[in-house]
Amino acid sequence: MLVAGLLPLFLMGAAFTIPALSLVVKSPRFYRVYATAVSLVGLAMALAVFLETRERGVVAYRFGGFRPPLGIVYTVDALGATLGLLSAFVLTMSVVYSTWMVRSRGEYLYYTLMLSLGAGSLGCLYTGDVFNLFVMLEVLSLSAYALVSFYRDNPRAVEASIRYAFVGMVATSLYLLASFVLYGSYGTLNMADIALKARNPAAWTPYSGWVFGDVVLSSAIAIALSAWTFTFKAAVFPNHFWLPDANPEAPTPVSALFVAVIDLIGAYGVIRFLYTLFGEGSAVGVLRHDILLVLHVLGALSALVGAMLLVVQTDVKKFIAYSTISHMGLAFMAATTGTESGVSAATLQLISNSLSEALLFYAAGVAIVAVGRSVEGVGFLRRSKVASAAFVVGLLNLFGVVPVFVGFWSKLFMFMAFLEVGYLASAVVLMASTGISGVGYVKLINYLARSTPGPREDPRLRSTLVPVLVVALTTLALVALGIAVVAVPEVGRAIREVGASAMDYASYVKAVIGW
Amino acid sequence: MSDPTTFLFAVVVLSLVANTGISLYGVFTRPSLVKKFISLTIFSDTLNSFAIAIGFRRVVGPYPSAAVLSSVPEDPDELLAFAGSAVDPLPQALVLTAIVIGLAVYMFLAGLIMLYHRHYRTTRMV
Repeated sequence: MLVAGLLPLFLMGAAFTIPALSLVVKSPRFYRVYATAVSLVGLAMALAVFLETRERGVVAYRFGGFRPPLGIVYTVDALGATLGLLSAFVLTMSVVYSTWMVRSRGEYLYYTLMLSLGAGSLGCLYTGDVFNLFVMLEVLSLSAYALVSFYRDNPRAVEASIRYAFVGMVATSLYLLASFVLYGSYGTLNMADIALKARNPAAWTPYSGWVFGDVVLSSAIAIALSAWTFTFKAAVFPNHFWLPDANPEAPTPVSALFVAVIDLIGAYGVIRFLYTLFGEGSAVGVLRHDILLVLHVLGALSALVGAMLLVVQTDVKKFIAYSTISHMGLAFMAATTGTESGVSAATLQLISNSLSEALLFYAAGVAIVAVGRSVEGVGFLRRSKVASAAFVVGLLNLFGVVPVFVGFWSKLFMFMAFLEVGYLASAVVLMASTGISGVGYVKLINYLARSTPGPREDPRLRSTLVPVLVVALTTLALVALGIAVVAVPEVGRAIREVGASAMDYASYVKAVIGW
Repeated sequence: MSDPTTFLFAVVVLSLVANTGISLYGVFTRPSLVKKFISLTIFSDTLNSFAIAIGFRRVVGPYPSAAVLSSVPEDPDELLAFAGSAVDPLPQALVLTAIVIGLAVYMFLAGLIMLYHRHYRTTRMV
């Protein structure tokens, strides 16, 4: 299917047309309209891919028409398509929000980076090639480093970006090493081909197991190396340290993107590697259970550490960053139960978390412009009914006790997924992290009720139509999804099928090499 | 270890592993950003050399040949013999891609370090 292959290329092409256009068009308004239009088209394409996978299952697009395993294939299943739609939605919202928020000299470069960030993220989610995933990971990471240091006159932003970039470069290089090891052990880089060869030694070619000899051991090494990268990307303990540094220094619309576009890839990568590539009954065998268990424990630690640290934050952006760490930890726990329902719950948790963290950043962004980054500043939001209501919705969704919001259902599904495999301790961790972080959320709602020192004079505050619109749309998506998950059977089925698609390696393989 | 090729190959792989450790030590413990930067380039060059080593092929003659065909042989057996004696070209293509991507990241990092120096008048980061 052409659209799946075209979408990342379209965003990338649109991104790198901007520097060329900047020679001719100087008006920043042009780039705002351009980026909004491009991201809307990107969202429509992601929706088309999503609907296509709903109809036909796994879709594949072969670049250059080479027969797999030769050439690069883009393979989109329910998991990739759902997360891709989420990623494109939050990207569009952030671009629209940026047209209000970002006022800087090199504004066109900002939109170049935003669009290439989206291209990297969607490329990671759609690709069916281990090495192409590395390339897209680098596109994503480089855009992210550059966006963190976008306000380069701010020394703290430069410092945060350097820290992030150094460790990020080591992390992605380790993934590169993992892809070399996979090539050395299976003689192929195509994910579907690896998935087949990892389960069926009859599919081996003379190039399988030829460099390293022992396929089990070398697959385990590849998984260990890539797990390091994915836990880094997902900001899971102990690789969480970069997020509270980098996220707050980025421009607010970019901070809002971090969960939906960057952290998401970590969780996605783990699901793709440990279910599709090396699932039940694959070459990795018993080791897979141990790897899942280790990642599960790391997710639990991350959920607790994030929840405890978020309570003491005095900077609203750091507060949301720690909340992200806590919720990504929960998503990791669900994704590593090894069951269909666990993956579905993790996906729902990623959706819920992405939307509500983005919503909090969008709402808090107005207060950050007016008052500054301290948590007391959110009191400014009282002036706008929509913004303050949306802020409360975002916090309540993360708290996850109100059954109207999707956050409640994701926590319920995770709880049931833990009980299904008998992980009682995980269910307790889920409750505990909800309880601990609840203290922080209630504290923030409390600040919303208090008055704040007088706001700064800022020309942007004269018209807040754009941020209010973005906040309203995101809230609408959050609430509509929360109701639809239980009320509309089609949506509930779509979420369940994500888990099924992660387990169903056979149709993944068939769509790619079943010619 | 009677076979010299095996011995030399083991030396290469072990030194690559040692190199990885040393360069990671440099990235994480050196306070100077420039030294961190140099260690990082050594780190990714080590990984790239490792990939080239994966493409190595043991052949009967002294060396495997380069994976370059100047003319398409008529005889299929000749093609098979070539495939059996040439190194694997795919890891080289991968390394080429990785180097190009790395160049972009290093240029960006070098620019950031210059910015850092402009702000703090030092390249030490604690």
